[in-house]
Amino acid sequence: MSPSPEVKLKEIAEALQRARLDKNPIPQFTSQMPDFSLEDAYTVQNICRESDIGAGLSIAGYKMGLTSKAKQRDVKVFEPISGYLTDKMELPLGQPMETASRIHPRVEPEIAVVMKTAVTGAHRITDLIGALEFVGPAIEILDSRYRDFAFRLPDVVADNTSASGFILGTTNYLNRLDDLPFLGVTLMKNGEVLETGAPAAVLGNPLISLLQLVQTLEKRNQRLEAGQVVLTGGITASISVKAADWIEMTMPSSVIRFPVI
Amino acid sequence: MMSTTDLGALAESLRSAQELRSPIAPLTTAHPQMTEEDAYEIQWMNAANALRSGHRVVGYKIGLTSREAQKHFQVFKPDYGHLFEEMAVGCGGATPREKLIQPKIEGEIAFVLGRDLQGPGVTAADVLRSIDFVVGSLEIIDSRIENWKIKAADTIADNGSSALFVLGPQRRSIQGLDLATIGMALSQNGEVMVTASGAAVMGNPVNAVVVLANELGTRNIGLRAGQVILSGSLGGMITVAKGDSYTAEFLSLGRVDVSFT
Repeated sequence: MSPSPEVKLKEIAEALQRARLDKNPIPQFTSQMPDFSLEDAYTVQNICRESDIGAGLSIAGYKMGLTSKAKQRDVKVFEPISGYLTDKMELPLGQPMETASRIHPRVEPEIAVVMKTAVTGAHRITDLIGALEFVGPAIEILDSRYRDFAFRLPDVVADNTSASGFILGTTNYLNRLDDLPFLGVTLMKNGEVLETGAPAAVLGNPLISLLQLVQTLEKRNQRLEAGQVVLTGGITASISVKAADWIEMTMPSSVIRFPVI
Repeated sequence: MMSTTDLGALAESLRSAQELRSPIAPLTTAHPQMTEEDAYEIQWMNAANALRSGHRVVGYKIGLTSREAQKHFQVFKPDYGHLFEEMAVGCGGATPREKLIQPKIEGEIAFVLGRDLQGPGVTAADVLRSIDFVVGSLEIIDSRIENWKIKAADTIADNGSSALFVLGPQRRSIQGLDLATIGMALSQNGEVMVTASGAAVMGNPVNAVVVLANELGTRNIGLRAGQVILSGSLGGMITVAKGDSYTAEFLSLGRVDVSFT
């Protein structure tokens, strides 16, 4: 007899946790289980989240994915996906990023938001602005637990949307939110410009991504709390990194620079 | 070097392709030995021809300025094409798609010169001193070569695949402007398709103008006060469709619009 769906989802969560601990990537689940749905995937993500909390981690915030219209069309899913961030994922600015605990890390530039107050019931971007403490540059570190970063949408949601770490910059764009979509972003590796973009790549404006998260959390009877961080979505394609690389992300009046060890 | 007769015949075939809006096979297919020098000879033959028929050069466009484009063409130096008076389209204007063969559009930072600039020996400081103002632009490129099956020599001979350009209404002094961190979002019918920063153009678009001035200098041609320079594509290009409208919006430089009927 095959195991019940609940047992199966718990096994998937365990396999993912083990893959992270052993640094041993696993094949995607959707290739074996074609009916593994996005809803199942969020259940798996929640099991992992409860297990992380049980292990003493605290929830530092959320991250958004699938925030480009083109990517949404590719997978025919017309809303962003989300994952959670833990306090252990934050890397202080200027610290080296280490690869020893990761499988095949990549980095991408994003706009991060830090909440000043909790927020519920937001319908428009303007409803959010008073609740913001910080809107500025960030680097997200991604590390899929799937072999070769090969996955379909439910796989990546189950894998907490590949969340592995983040670095917050210090430049706050809160007083120039009108410019936010058009602040130029440049990502360099070892001095070479590899990717450029602008926050408009994130649903036209990263604050739209934030608004969608607030509304999604509300449906789940959750809310963004004061002090929580939201990574609003990748502005450019991610790049792979390895030990001895130097990574630099620039935006107006801002540089995030760190070595990889 | 190819013979003047052969080069003249190829120049003529590009002119007639343009007149008939009927693209031709890549020049490099029949002439695989064609060098970049040959290709520029063809471009200059057609420029001389246009001048004789009363057309006026209003500036230049620079191409192959991004890492991806240079890697794709295996040419690690930007190229250029001539801009003629009739290529300018007013901002917000509607242009007939039928006038073009297989158009694409891209967002660029453009410069208008306030004084002459004569190479060789032009430096970035010389370029900065010679710029009257900076303006956002859309470049509509087109190819007289079938299905854009171009090698570097094909596009150089074909006037850098140039067709039309649109300058934005907002003029900015270069004083205090950090071109590398200017972000740009290119939208089609209001949806963001491409984003980039000024750093996509050789780290800074000024670097592309340095190369242009010095390349022209080898022919003893100078850049003139009042001329427009399109400094190179920011991010990718998108295919132009009849009935669609396109907008590039820039940090500090405002927005530029054009539509196709």
